[in-house]
Amino acid sequence: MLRALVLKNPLLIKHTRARLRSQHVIPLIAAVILTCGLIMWPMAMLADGGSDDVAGIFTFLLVIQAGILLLAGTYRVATDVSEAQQSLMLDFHRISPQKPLTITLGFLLGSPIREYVLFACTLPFSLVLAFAGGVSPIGWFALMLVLITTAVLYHAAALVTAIALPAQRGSAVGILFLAFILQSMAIPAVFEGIPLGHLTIIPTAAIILDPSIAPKLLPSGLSPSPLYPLLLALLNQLPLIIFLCIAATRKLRDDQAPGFAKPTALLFYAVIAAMLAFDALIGPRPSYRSDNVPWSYFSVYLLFGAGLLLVLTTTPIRARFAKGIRQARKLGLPWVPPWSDTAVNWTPLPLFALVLLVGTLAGMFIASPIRLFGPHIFAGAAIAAFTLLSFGYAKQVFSLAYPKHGDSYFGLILFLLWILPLLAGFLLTVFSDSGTSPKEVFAISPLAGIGLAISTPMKRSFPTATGVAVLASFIPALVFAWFSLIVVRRAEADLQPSAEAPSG
Amino acid sequence: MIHVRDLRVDYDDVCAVRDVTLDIAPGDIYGLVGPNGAGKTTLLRTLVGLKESTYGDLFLNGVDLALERERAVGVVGFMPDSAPIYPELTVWEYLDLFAASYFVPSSQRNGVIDDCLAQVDLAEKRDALTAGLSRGMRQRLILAKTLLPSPLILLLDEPASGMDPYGRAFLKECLRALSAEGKTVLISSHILSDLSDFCTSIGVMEKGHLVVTGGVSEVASRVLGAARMWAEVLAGQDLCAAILADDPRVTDVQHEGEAFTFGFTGTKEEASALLTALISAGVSLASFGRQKEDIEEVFLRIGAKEVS
Repeated sequence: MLRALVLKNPLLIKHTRARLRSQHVIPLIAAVILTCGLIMWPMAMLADGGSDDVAGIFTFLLVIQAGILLLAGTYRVATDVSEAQQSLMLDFHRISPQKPLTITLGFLLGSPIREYVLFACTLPFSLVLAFAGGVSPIGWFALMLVLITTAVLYHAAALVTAIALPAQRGSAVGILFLAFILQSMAIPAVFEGIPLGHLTIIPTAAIILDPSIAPKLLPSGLSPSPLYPLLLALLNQLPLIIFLCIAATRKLRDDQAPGFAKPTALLFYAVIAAMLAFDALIGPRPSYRSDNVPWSYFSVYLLFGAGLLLVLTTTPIRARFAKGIRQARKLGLPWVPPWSDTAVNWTPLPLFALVLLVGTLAGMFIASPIRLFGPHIFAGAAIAAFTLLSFGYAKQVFSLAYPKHGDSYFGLILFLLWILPLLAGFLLTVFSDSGTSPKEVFAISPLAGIGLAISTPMKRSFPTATGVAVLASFIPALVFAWFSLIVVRRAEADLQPSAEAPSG
Repeated sequence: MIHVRDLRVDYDDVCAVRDVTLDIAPGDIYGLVGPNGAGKTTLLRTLVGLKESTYGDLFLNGVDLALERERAVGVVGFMPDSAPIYPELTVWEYLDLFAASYFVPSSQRNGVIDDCLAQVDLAEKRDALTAGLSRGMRQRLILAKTLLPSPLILLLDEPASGMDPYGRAFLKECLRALSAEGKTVLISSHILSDLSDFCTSIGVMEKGHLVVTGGVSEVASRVLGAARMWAEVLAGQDLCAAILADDPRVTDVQHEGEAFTFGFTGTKEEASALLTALISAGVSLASFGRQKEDIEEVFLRIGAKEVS
């Protein structure tokens, strides 16, 4: 199995041949070795071999290693796959008897093969610097391993993006931008206990290079072993890598299929929710969090955002819906199987909302001191869940009712429901005499309503802003669910054989 | 070898292929003609499993594409109208990639690749980078790649585009040889004169429909009416004209000098009987025969137009 997937992988062999030609790779290896030698020069000059200075040089080399693997490697995967997609070369691979997983691994491991070789050239220098800088061999190993898994994660994201968005190089730039943002956010995120930090090498590097930070970043009672950040990074990164590979494999089997089947998308969402709850469980000690507010806000919004993306993925456009109807009719089925790619999103949508509700509550329960957990948290989670429902139903309505301009109308509705109240609230705040912000106006937008509800504990009365936010999320969910019912029935009627006009 | 039943393929709101039924026998060279946007490429991509059909049955070598996609597609070689290459690979490396992809044992790969290169007349470019090949050479490289797994069915989408006259002549010979080996070829092309030279059957697509399909002669006689025949008469031209005029199967007689052309609705055997009658009556014939069916004429007669 491993032999077929990796060692005998034709695409991996192809990339090895193309990207490791001696005339291209030898000058690069020479440049990397020369650079590493120059970096180590100051260390040799240090008379007393101060370990702090050496650690600084080690960190500098680590930045170069990250540049090679994370930036250059990610860019290479995205451009290789985009070019193969544009030139229709991917079609040749799709129709070959190779399994889609083999093709996925061929691009994932093969495209950045030159970057892996260059990275390997830096390892001896890195090891010497680590030894001289007082970094333990296990710590060094853990750091390098996390660097590699982080690179694989970004490469997998680039692979999926490039397959799904064939615009050449645009996807590479997008992924690089995201990687940069993620790395930039990692330091404050880790210290504030916000998830995502372990999707980067920052926390692992911080703990290994400065063990005194470890107590601030690790749960109490755990020794600052370098294997602990490695474990956390793997637990955060591996599920994402696996699901990204599933999406890539599916798109390589059929480029018109959504990245995830409905059950897989739901499972992915549950895994994300579990990861966030897990991050809350193993996050920094409570004394380093200001009553968990950053985690509360960020994790709810993160789970909410992931839900929006996955709901979009699993909502069929009219053409796909029509295909499902015709296929079902041909097979003599009374309706399209509800978990099929072509089925309307009615079955998974409430389950997505349920995962969001339960995931948010579980994460917050784990993270928050008991005094902070109350009905306001439930209200915030409910607003998020209702909003996810209204988003999904509205998307389905506009996809089916307006095949050509549905996305524009859907965007307009989101602007009216989500953005306009924020603008109105902002203007009212600016032009009010007292300078106080009208929370009730902001709360009409679920983007603000979720946070307002969570941050406003219910002591004896129900806060007005929370009430507004609950209604502003519940009513659209109800309305769009109703419209969805009507539009789906109408679309089904339009697709009756007698109603279908011949197209040209 | 290829059986298509009630095939429908949709792109968003556009029905690209509508209710197509098609049968192609082993060894046939089937020409698919039609204007741009008629659905030819979509039909080919659906046959190779790159485009999912909305409904309909597709059987390749008796295997249902919907049920056993990998097995069905395993007997198919597909050549798209573009010529996708990996520019950083040499010609040999490129073919080796696909030989490995099609599980050709490594011990046999060199031989198989060399054979394919010889078949498409690219042996001297074995170690050249594919980036340096001309458009015509790239087309031949893709043909070599298509032939590499020795497919039973070849689906060729505009294979002659970009080829010079030598390349086209070479392609025709190559396809004839493949047909003689029993391989089934489905070829779409705009260059109708190319197809009429070697296709055994044709189909004309328009707006997603397969308007007409069948053997070239059959389609030509259905669309054009009577087959056109000619006779080169050295002596007895009046007698020849009288015999032709008396035959109810003969229509539209044209006479210019020694050359007679006329429509004939009879079978081959009846044409042979007409020839015997002419000779028996003392008409001196230098040549006599049936004009080759002109696919272009068929295409134009059907009235296919450019579809935007």
